[in-house]
Amino acid sequence: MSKQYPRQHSSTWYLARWPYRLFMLRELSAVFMAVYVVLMVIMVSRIYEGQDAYEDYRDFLKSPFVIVFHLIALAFALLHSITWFQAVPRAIRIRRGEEFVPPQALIGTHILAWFGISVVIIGIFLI
Amino acid sequence: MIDVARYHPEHDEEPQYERFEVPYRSDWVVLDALNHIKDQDDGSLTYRWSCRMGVCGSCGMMVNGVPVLTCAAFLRDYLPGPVRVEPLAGFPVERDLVVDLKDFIGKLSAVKPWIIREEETPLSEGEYKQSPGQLADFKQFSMCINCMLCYSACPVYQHEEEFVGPAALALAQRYNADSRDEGNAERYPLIWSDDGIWDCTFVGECSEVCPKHVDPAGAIQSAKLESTVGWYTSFLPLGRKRD
Amino acid sequence: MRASNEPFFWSMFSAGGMVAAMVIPALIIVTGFLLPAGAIGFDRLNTVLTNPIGRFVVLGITFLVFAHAAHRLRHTMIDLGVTQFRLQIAVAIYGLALGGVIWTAIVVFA
Repeated sequence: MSKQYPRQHSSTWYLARWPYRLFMLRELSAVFMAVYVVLMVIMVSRIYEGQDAYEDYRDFLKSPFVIVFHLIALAFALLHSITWFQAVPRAIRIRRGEEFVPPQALIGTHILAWFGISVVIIGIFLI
Repeated sequence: MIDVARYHPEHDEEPQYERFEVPYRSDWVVLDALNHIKDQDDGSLTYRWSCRMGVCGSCGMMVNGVPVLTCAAFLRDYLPGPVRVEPLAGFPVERDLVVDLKDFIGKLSAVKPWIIREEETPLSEGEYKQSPGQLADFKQFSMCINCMLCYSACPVYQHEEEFVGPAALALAQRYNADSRDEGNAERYPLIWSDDGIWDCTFVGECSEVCPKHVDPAGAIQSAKLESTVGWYTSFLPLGRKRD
Repeated sequence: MRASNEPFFWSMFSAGGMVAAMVIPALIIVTGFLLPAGAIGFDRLNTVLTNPIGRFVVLGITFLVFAHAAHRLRHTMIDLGVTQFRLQIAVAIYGLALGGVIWTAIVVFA
């Protein structure tokens, strides 16, 4: 038995190619969304404390650093939404007769629902 | 220009790159270039190939870091070069561009990729009938040619050698989804284990590099859903018992 | 072969991923941009968030997003090459998520 060159693995594989980089960004989206939710719960608690506490928190939200964080978090959240909806037809294959429901139809349904829900959420607060 | 990874098991500690000049023809694929090198420059260059038409699945290699069938990778897509050719990532190298298939073959047979019947129907009663719809349920997963590109594209397999991996899990799904098969319960313990579908983090590159559009990543996600339904129903009185 | 516990965590991850995909972008637009811009008044926020349904929705979103993020982060750690101490990392990450949910429950219902 001759000597084999053992299998290798790179600890920085996720930097090697764009599909891997996008994968890692997609995974990191969860961290940004979780941090955003922490900020959201802090906001809720300030609102329960009353208007003064809320106004203090609103000053915090106005700071450039926090605005930039929300911009980055929004970009990650959109990446999550889009990749998530694209993944749905991979896990759920619905067959009608001899044909599968086209993936685009499933993705499209989710995106429509997403727009509807988004309008409702923004509407609830703006009305 | 082509940079080929060379490894000789008797006098190399690790692979070296050797540069060859090959004539460029617009209809040449990387495999043609390798054949040219073997004919004209160095007869000791070692690699696997057979059909030259994307059916046999033996000429998979890394070309510029991406796993491809070299018989389907046109040189014109890599201009101006140089083109870097390496053995498939994630496998031990035997020599030059040839990798050891043992781990992969073991995993293929571990998922029991054949039709399992609780009781064989006698031949005299005819064949097992299947509707076109039932065929559609697994046809896509049955196109695999065992070229192992998906294993090389899978970062999880690179760091978890125990991971059953894309092709074998898609093949398991192919038989589980086959209406003639009754062997799901025999396959579930392995494919539903931590080294089966649950190692997968849905990077998705296995499906991108697959020359036969098998979509192993999708097969694994479907299996995760199936396993999750099975897990919850195992708590119901009539549900399948957990192992 | 030992049966995996992943189905439980994966179902939470999936539910959380779906809810996050549907609501988080809109919520960021509301609380990250419309709020500081002054487009929404305190009274409106107070009405929505002190409503019992509003309280449950806040807790539900928090639970699901934390469950989603914890599961994803746990697997990403392995993909990033941290393959040692898997159990400890899992306990720490899920524990952190659970702590966040308890904190939210206290905020929302206390």
